[in-house]
Amino acid sequence: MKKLLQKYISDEGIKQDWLGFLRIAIALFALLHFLSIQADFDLLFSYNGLVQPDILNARHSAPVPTIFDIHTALVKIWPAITYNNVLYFFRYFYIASLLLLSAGLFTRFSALFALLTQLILINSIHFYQYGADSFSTILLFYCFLFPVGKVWSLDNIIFKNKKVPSADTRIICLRLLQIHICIVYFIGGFEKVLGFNWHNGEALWKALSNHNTRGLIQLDFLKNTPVFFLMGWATILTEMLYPVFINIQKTRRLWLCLTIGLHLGIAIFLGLFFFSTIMIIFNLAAYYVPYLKEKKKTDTAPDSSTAMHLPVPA
Amino acid sequence: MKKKLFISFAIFHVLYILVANAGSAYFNYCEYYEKTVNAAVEKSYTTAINNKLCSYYSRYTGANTGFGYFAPNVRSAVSLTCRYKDTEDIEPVFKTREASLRYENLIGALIDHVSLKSKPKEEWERKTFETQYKYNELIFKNVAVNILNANKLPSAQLLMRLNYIDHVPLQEARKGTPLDEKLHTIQETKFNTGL
Repeated sequence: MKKLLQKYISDEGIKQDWLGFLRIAIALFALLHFLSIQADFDLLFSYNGLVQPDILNARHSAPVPTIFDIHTALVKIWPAITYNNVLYFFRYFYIASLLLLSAGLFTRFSALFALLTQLILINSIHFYQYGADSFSTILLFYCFLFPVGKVWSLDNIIFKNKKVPSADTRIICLRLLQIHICIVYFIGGFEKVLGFNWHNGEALWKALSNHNTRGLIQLDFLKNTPVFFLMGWATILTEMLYPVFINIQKTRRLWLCLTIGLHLGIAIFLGLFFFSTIMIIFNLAAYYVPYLKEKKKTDTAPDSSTAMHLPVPA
Repeated sequence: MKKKLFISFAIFHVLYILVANAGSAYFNYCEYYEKTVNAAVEKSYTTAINNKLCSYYSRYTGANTGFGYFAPNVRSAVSLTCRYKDTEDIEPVFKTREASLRYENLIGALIDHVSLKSKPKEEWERKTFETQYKYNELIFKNVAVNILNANKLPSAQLLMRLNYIDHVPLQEARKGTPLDEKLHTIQETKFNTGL
């Protein structure tokens, strides 16, 4: 067991590019995601919005303060400050943090500020949040935790920081990211297989047809075909078997393609573009970019082509 | 030392995510199939995951994110309609697709606590979720005033209805049942916006 664990966390074939990819992709994703609501920003966040901040605040989850909480605290010591002052501070501070994070400047701090600001902003409109926000939190947390500023960053250029993260650190971080995404898909598939409507195609029919108004294509015309049944089982199998086949080198590319195909389907048929994008980024960071260089290496070293990267045994 | 500490944290984090999600899957399963939750499991889960310290950890790391999207069942589509002067339905105006998607999440969140198949509307309205009912009314009024302002309409009587959309099952659709939109009202509120 100990040997297996040692082997699992000591794969030296993995380069560090994935750290830079993760940082830049998540920062730019979060920035685009936030910019995509700017035209309706006041409608979601301000007192001129659909729901007033104090009413939203009555039901928020306690651990993270909202902009309303922060304004209420600040106004006691600085009576002139308005709600909009605080709101606009966080609005621009979040954008600035993400720009710094994408450039890799003061990376650890910019990741921390981006994470905290994202949590505050999202918690302030908690009823409006969805899966893409939750995955942004997860990946911004990893940007704070992992040494993502050591690769492709301004920190390296400006502060002449040539020290690269050790192979041990890199591999432990990567394994954590990989195990997390394996849990995501396994649990996702497992919960689906528990629902009887997923066994007969009914669940996908319900999601993809009828009153699905966000999808780019309506699939009602396929009701007399077995498409919904097949797609339902394909989704369950892709998700539940993800932890197995993504960790076998020979099937990794295939499973990545299947998984990315699944997310492209979610984008096209359910209209969840940002959710799909962040899941594709998560997949690429965990299982594509780290093995880009490895492929070249294995071309000249066929002995290692059957190497498996299994998750940590329980 | 540093490496060992980091490995220990990584193992804890992974176990935490596993336990949080396994518990979440179990509770979702029990809720959907109307099974009684095992008291020991519930107590252990509350002690291990739902305590104050863990709620902070969960929120700031995203470790409590549930991954059972569209599972075990796909939830019914919901809508919030606003009837102006008993004649026309008016809606919020969004400039972006993303804000419109988030608005749908807001409406969905208003019925998160309702198990549509097990709780009749009357029971829900009168007893079980009285606080939520009143809270929803507040949100309806907020939305309504915003819609009036956005459409530059004078104050008038408004009827707000929170509905779920009847889903025609695949087998029924195959038999030729039309896929017309049938709304089932969960909550309705009539009020005048002469504020």
